Amino acid sequence: MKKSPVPGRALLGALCLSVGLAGAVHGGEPHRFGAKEGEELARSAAAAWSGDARLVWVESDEEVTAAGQSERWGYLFFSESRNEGRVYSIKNAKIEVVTDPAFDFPAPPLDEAWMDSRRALSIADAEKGNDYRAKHAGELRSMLLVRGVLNLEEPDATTWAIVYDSPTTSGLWVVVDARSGKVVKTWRG
Amino acid sequence: MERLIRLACLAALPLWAAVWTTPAFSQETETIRVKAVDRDKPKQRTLRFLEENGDFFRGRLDALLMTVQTERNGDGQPLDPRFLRYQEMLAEILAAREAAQSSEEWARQRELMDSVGDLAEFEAEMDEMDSLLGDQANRLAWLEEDFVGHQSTAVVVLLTGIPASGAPTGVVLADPSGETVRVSLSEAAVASLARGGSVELMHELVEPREHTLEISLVGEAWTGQSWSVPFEPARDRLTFLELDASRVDPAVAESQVTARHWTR
Repeated sequence: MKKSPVPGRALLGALCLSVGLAGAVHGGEPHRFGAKEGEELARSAAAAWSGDARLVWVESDEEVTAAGQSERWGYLFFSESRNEGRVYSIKNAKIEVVTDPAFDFPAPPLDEAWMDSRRALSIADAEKGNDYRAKHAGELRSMLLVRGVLNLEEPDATTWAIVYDSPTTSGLWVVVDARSGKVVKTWRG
Repeated sequence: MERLIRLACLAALPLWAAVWTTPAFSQETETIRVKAVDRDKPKQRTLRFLEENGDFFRGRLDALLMTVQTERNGDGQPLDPRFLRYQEMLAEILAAREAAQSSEEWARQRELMDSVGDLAEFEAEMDEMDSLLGDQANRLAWLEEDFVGHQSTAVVVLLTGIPASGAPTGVVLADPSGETVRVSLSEAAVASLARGGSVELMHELVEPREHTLEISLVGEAWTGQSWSVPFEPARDRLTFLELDASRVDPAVAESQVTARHWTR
């Protein structure tokens, strides 16, 4: 019987390598998504937690890319009847973290028609963000969505806050109306 | 002295009577215990910015007043066309049933085919029956589209099997991040289990994430043994979690409640 020119061990090694490469191609790149994409799953979980749960805060839980996407977004709900909050942090279309926050934050519910983080970031970048990044080696620190608290002149509006940081100067906040896309406020601090 | 004791017993009689005749009004018992807050430590941090700047945001929140205004619209709303469609469907079903009955009657009368012409007529009847079945399948599809799509994430926990050492009197289902449910098993439920049936222990809405239920059996033989059963309900589906207690043995620490689940 003729012996195979490829020894079994080498074949096994080649198989392992190819499987590893395939894993790197398919599983290596994390799924980054806009904040809107995780909202439905978070709402579905919150509805099971409490019938009167309302979404009051959205925040990037991991670094936000230049396209306004993140690997993980956090969604905070508040229930009037339970008088407590519940956080769902979503990654890869699954609930990665669920926890009861250690603080109370009975904020007003977000307007349901809020724009995605991708559009909000592009508006903030165009307004002052790009300039700040270029002049001060600035970086995006966080994106958060809340109603009322960041624009007391128009407290009924839901707004995105895009927060930039720099090692050399104070931070930059750009507040964007999450429905109209209008920049309503910017400040340094 | 003896007279005094008799008098005391007589005086206590109404009290004893009251105690023995007090009915059990509620099956829900509330036990209050006080313990230190044991916050879950999430495996990854979340809402870091809010946590770090909580005082600032809460201070801003104090400046807001939220009012809820409810408005009722007095205008007539268009009726959901599906409601009318259901009525039509019912009429169609009744008509289809009558047609099927008349076909059955016809087939019974013509047990023996007299001619090729009868055979052709029979084929036509069969085609009509096929068409009725097709219509019925369409109606089922419409109903499924209207109702199955509205399923929320929910779980039904079932119990099956009786341990060799005897049936428990109840089951405790504890969700570490939720509430504890204590279910007692009636004689009828135990009889059903003995015949190979299942008993529904819980049917609730749940978050679509990984859960772990701590299961323990209640009864004289069962003291402190519990089993962890992990499961992940599918989002917007009804997940059945069936617990099989037939292999558990209070004398064997390693014995396990086995679980299987399916979704519909």
